[in-house]
Amino acid sequence: MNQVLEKDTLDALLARIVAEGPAAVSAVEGGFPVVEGNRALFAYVGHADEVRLHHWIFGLESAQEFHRVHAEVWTLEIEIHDAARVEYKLEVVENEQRQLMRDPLNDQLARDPFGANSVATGPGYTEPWWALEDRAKRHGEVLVRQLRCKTFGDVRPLSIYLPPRYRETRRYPLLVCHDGLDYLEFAGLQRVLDNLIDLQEIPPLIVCCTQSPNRTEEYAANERHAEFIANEVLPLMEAEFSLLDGPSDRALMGASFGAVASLYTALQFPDRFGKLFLQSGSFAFTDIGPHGRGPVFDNVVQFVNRYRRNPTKPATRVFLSCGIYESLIVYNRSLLPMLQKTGTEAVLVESQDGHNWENWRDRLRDGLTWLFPGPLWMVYE
Amino acid sequence: MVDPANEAARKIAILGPQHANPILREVLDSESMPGPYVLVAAGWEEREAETGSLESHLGVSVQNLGAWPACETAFEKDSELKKLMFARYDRMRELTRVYRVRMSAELGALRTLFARTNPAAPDDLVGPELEPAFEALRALDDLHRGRVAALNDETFARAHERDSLREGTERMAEMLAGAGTLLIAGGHVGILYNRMRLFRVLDHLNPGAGIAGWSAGGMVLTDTLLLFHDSPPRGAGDAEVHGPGFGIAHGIVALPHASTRLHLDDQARVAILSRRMAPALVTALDGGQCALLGGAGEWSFRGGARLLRPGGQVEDASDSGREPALSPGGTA
Repeated sequence: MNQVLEKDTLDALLARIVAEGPAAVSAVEGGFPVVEGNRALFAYVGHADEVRLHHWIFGLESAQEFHRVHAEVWTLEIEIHDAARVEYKLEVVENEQRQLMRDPLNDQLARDPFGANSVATGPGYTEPWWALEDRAKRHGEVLVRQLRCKTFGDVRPLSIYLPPRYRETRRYPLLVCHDGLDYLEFAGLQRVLDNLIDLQEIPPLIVCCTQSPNRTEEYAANERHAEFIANEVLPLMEAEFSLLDGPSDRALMGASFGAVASLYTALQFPDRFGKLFLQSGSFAFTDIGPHGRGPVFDNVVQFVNRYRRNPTKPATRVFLSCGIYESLIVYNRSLLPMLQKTGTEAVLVESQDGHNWENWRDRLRDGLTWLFPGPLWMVYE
Repeated sequence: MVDPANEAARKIAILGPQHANPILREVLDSESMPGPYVLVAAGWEEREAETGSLESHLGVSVQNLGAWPACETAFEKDSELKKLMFARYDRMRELTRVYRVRMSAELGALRTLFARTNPAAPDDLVGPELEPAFEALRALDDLHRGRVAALNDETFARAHERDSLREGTERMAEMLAGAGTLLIAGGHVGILYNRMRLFRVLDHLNPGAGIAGWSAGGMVLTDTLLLFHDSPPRGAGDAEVHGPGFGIAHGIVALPHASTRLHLDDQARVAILSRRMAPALVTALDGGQCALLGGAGEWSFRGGARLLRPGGQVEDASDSGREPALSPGGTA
């Protein structure tokens, strides 16, 4: 969490920086940005001709100009929501050379498959306690399988989470997770599962984590991908593990294009998956004209446009989550009533966050406990 | 199945959770509930054998029935038995889904009515609506409990015909016949009830033995397995009837972990729960607290155990003398 100041001290700090320069910045022990109420003050110290803050907040200019307040000190103040998480990088321009970098005054980082960003948080944001490692709790096991894939003619890695105390004599719900290896690495999926199962908030369940080498094509409403999940992954899981029968105990999950793949697969195979967990789904559509999102979205937009013309019930329950700083929030808000009209029990949880793994991690408890209510009600120890 | 009328002479103790402030030893001593102590801890599931801290608290060893592994073994040997129990589980889920449709609506109606009046002294506009609303909810709870009871009777009667259960049942029956007191640990209340029923634990218990159960172990002794949590991660926190209990601790509803699972300062929620379960006594049990059923058929309470009253009050019952137990016929 970023340093939070008492009321009326941010202006004093800014005045000191203006007067004293780098020394005043160095004296701030907790680093930057510093937050007071809904104000966040960023600083940069060094040679530069221009400094900008690049963020991914839909609705704001993506590059915010810092102001030089001292010979080598630049500052920027922005508004920040109470429970917000904002990922950003600094763009530093010197001698017409542009460098995109993480904030050297901020230790908070968010990692993703492409590297890491700096993170600013509002005063009300806390990393969820149920996502932290708890060695006192029992841990599940992740098995690694290589699936010889007939659909795509290659070998696909599967990481299969088995809950603590898994045993063949019991039956378990199944969750198939798109980009599952990334969920394990960047969203702490195993820790979250271990914790929520231990708290009895979700039942012990099996999670099959899939990963695609070409996700923008395979996840973009791709019939072959749907067949791969329904006709290869699901039968493998049924053959090897003790699963509860029927679609009400089978779920699909994914973020971004993974959410599109989940919805599309459920619609293609309506009797297989009764629950969907769709995070920041890329459900782009056009009411008129081109979508303007590049060719990787062509199939997605065609699919969503088609679905909007003739929506059908994809599952019994659908949990949607999306950050309000994402442009995708519009599409997700639009999808919710459409799903509800088909008779689907659907909810959308919005967050003050963006299109990133921490956002998806922070919504896991909401989604998993809604889709898979645990034995909390049954256990009185 | 246990006949509650034959159980009238037993000493029964229902305790709150035994983690932080265990009083089991103290209760066994004060109520003269002797050993040998036979334990059923099937609600702990795979951890059933982990009796170290319990034995350390008691200062003596216990005889563990091992109902959990015995059932797992039977399932492994007998796929028909496993199929029978899985079918029951699936049917239970269907019954519960149907029950919830009306139950959540009835409960929602009651909450709406209580929001418009004082739970302790309803006004003349809302007041006359309350009892009919409670009657509808109680009738629904009774219907659901009855449907689950019928399912249980049919399922367990068929299960008891299976040879795969015989060895475990006979082994346990021998231990139970020699028991001074049966101890029933908490845990998963559904699994605990099922395992006890599969191996007919109470049928084979020495008629002179007392019973001390804590948390879920106390709940299974009562008439109704009532599941409750006022602040779950999702949902309205609607308490629901899971099915029948063994009914030998008649006329009481036990709510272990009450302080963490219930909003006891919410007068409307307390009033609704109390009146919904009437005429049974509704008791909140935390660590260090217990309810005792004496030979005269009266409940007494210790350690700050509380009763939820129809007006929404939560009263410390440990100083209030004895509360009459309901007769098996159901009237106070």
